[in-house]
Amino acid sequence: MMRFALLLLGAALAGCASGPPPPDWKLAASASLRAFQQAYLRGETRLAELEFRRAVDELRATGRADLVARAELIRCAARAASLEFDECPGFEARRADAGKEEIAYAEYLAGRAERAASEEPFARLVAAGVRMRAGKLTPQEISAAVETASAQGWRRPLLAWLGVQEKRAEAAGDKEAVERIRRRIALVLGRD
Amino acid sequence: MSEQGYEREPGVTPVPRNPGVRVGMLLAFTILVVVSFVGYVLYARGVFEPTQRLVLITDNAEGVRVGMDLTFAGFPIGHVRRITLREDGKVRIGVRILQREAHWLRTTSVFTLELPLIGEAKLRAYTGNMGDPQLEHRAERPLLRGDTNAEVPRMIATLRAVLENVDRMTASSSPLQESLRNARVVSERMAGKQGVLGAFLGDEENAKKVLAALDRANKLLASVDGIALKLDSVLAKTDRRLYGEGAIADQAQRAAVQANAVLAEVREKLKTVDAILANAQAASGNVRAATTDLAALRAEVEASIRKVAHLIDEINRKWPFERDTEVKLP
Amino acid sequence: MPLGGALVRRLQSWGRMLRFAGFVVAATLSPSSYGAATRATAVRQIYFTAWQILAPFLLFAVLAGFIVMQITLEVARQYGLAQYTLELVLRVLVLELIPLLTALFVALRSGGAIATEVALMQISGDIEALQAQGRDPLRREFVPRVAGAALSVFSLTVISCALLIALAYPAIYGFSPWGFDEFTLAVGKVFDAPTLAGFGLKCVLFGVAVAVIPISAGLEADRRRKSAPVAVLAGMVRLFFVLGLIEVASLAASYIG
Repeated sequence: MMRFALLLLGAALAGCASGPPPPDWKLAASASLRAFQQAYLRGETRLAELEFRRAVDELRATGRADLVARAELIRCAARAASLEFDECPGFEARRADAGKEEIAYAEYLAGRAERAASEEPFARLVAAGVRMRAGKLTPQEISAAVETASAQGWRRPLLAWLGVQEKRAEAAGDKEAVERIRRRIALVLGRD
Repeated sequence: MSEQGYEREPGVTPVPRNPGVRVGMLLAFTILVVVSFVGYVLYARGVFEPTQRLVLITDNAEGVRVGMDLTFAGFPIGHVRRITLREDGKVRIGVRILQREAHWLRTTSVFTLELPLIGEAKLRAYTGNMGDPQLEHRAERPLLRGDTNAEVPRMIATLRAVLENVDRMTASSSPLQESLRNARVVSERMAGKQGVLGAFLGDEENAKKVLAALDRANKLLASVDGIALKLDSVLAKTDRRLYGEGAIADQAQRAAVQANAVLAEVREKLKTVDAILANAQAASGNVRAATTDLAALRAEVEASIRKVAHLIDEINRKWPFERDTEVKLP
Repeated sequence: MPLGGALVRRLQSWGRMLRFAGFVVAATLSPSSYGAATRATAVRQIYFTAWQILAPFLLFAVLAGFIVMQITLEVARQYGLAQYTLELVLRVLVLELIPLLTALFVALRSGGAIATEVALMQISGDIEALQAQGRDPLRREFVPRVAGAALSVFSLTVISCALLIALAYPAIYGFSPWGFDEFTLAVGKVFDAPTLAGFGLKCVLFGVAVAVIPISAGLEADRRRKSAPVAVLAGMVRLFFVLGLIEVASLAASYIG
């Protein structure tokens, strides 16, 4: 889904160099969606909300429900990457008008379909989240997700995945590991 | 039967032949003494003197007794005959004044009743102007009352208040003392080394600093003059370098022309991005003010982890926790 | 009980004395009592009680009074109250001390004698003889004695008081005439009408007491000779008591009333 957004953005930028300028809504919507994703993953929830609403407003102006559904899917993907699972009600409301690609992605998010993840960090995190939901996650994948989130400076998924690690260490009774993970969490939260 | 019939033993003590004579003399002398003494007393009390009546009116006749003297210049000229109450509650003091002394009292005479701290009350008469007509018979005058005992508490209270005020004023921490102290300090400073300047700045150090600053300012002004001269010569050199042959300016000119073209292109592109940026700015304008709410984030993340606890448990069952593999050093 | 009995007897005795006093005073005041013999007895009484002792007594009174005056003057000067000396002297010495002293003097001298005389008359039966003869002993013997004693006391008091007042002037003012007005003023102030009346009454009461009580005490005696001293003793004690009572009553009347 991110690829779509990036494609949109790329088309817009390409349009900058030559040809007629792209329509405003495309530019605005893609910018907003990108901003939303960044904000949400970084933990700036209010900004994320604002950007998402702005994106949806722009897409509504087109009257194309499938585009709105896509936006909703992007949101659900971001949430999945942060281990916040739900049935994506925003998309379900528009499922009737969604295109094939959107529905397939929705199924993927719900864990009912498989999909090859790209090497992009966001896509990898989404994949990790989906696999967690499906119960097919390995510890290595957990630590990979932690590293990915850490590399990007994405607080939300980082905290979520660190939390998972912490719970696993607690269950195992490994006090030292718990302490280390907790210190890392505290570092992210700015509490030490 | 004669009265001398009854027999009695003759007395042992010798009785003179006619005791009656001596006894009669004694009794006569006694009566003489009594009469003359009574006469003397009557004279002393002025019964034989003609008197004039005077009535004194007062609110409170405490201390006045019948027979009390009315004195003028310390000399008794009359006495109180009766004390009665009038219908309006005031006291009537009836005074008898000796006629031969009555000429001391005039119509403008003042009568006072003085009650000293110790001792008896005194009725006094004062005459200010002897030229006024004489006091008439049966005159009525008000009696002024001077009760020291009543005045004493008031006097003491006033005195105490005054003393307290003086005390406060002269206390070491009173404003008066403060002002005096300040005045003294100021005058001391004025007489000191720094003179009036020191007095106003309050501190020798400050005064010195001010003087030093003045010195420096002078020196600075002197040096600025020198620098200005040097600057002139530098400017002259720069001019030659910039605008002479093979000058930097030429090359810069050409580069600038090229840059202009690129800039024009970029400007176009930037215009489109401007629109995006404008939007983004508007959107984030509000939120930028708010910092990332980490506490809320933490709360949300914890909530979501709790929700996926069952998934974590599944993983725990399948794969036990291994510190080395999982918790890599970043 | 013996104590109760003694008290009752004493009260009865007092009662008798008071009744006798009433009678004799009434009799003394009525002119019909005075016959030639009565008058002679009274004169004799006065002679013995007052004339015989006049000079020594006056000397004694003057001396004692003078000493008291000097003491008063000194003490008053020490306290800065010298201006009150005269008044003090007049009030305390002349009005109270001298009358009491005189009465005591007369009581001591004549009271005892009268009581003894009457007691002896009682013992020897003279009283009864008089009564048998139909002559009232009250009028013949007692009235003149009472009148004589009263007049004696009065006369002695008056003369000694006058003497002391006259003495007070040179004692306080010396021998200059300049204090005379002040002196007169003080005298006039002290001796107002009520005071003079009270003084007179006190003297009379003293005089009456000095005669009446010894006589009634003497009458208490019976035919036994030994009862005389007992009667006289009782009478003297009672006399002093009554004199004191009169003095206190007069003080109360003048200073409290």
